[in-house]
Amino acid sequence: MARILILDDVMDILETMSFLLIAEGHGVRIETQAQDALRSLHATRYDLIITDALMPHMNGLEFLNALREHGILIPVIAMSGGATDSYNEHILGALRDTATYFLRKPIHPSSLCEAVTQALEGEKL
Amino acid sequence: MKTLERQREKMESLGQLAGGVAHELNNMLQPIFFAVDAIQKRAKDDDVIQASSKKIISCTTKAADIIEDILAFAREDSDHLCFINMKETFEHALSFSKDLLPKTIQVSLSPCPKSDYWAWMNETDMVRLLTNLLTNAADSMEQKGKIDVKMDYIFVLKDDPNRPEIINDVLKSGRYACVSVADEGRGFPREEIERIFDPFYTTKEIGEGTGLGLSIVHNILKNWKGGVNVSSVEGKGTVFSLYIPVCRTET
Ligand SMILES: Nc1ncnc2c1ncn2[C@@H]1O[C@H](COP(=O)(O)OP(=O)(O)OP(=O)(O)O)[C@@H](O)[C@H]1O
Ligand SMILES: [Mg+2]
Repeated sequence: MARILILDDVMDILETMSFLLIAEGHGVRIETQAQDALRSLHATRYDLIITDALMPHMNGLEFLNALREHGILIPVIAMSGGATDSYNEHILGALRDTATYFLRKPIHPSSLCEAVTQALEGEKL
Repeated sequence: MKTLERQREKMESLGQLAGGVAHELNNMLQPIFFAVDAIQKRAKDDDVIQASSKKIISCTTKAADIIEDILAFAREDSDHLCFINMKETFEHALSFSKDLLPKTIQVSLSPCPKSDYWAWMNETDMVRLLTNLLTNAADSMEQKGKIDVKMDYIFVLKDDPNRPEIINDVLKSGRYACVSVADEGRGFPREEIERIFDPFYTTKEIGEGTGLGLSIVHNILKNWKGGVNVSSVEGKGTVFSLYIPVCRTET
């Protein structure tokens, strides 16, 4: 069992993804705002972060940079439903290079479980 | 040219709109995938729930594929281009795309000449080009028959009267790889040529085609500074020719 924090601005995704991860035996916390997610990460220890890429206020890349600045070095799975313009395209490209895993929405449940398992195992090495 | 410029602007805003819509829709398909998984796992012995869930998954997957096409069409990713060996990339992409066709379709490849030409492009797009042309060709022959694929190098001289019009319109003078895909399918009349590259133009049944294939082909080649030409005879067959700028490496 791992403790996982999920950040996405779409509540429906957070809820259904947590059904899946809880059924897999994980403990899950959901956040819709990057600032709140950072606060939670300071308060509690997590094993894995799953974050959306394009969100209002703070995007996934800024969130990832903020994590690293705060010394939070746990694995991160980034996900995105695709870029809306060339600037966002650039953000996705950078996230693909920096996150532990990058998944394209819609993610198949089995692909998510696989990425979660591998990200957590990578951590143990 | 004014109209070309206007067309480019139109495509750009259409691209942005498509990208935005695709992003929103993917966010809505995601919960469906996760929720149906939860339902499936909780009713393992209920055949109706299992069958219905499979239907939801396959329809959602189809919707996701359509969105993927729209995104491919909307994308401007010239920054992902790199120098690739033309012959190698082409042959590799072709063998991949070929495997997606039914066994009743025979694809014959004429031997490719010299291998020391390089192109500024990417392999994923090359696969996308060939897959689109090959599936269209297979569709036009109702999934049985022969498709001839050829790759050759040509030198384009601007305003050469013997060249097909697309070349004088779009391509600069220089060396190009010309990839052609010829089928013996239904073919189409001249009037239709003007429409086949339009996004969402399709003659296929709902669920069989979205009409994005050729607009993606057109966009990819524009991105590579190449072009596409088509000649078709109704009832006889169609040849699509792709022009991809190449250069020779110093050895
Ligand atoms: N090789 C061909 N022979 C005859 N008609 C063709 C050929 N290629 C394309 N077409 C015509 O052009 C139309 C548009 O093609 P396009 O690839 O853009 O969309 P589609 O194949 O209908 O759908 P999609 O590619 O999105 O699945 C087709 O529906 C077909 O009528
Ligand atoms: Mg097609």
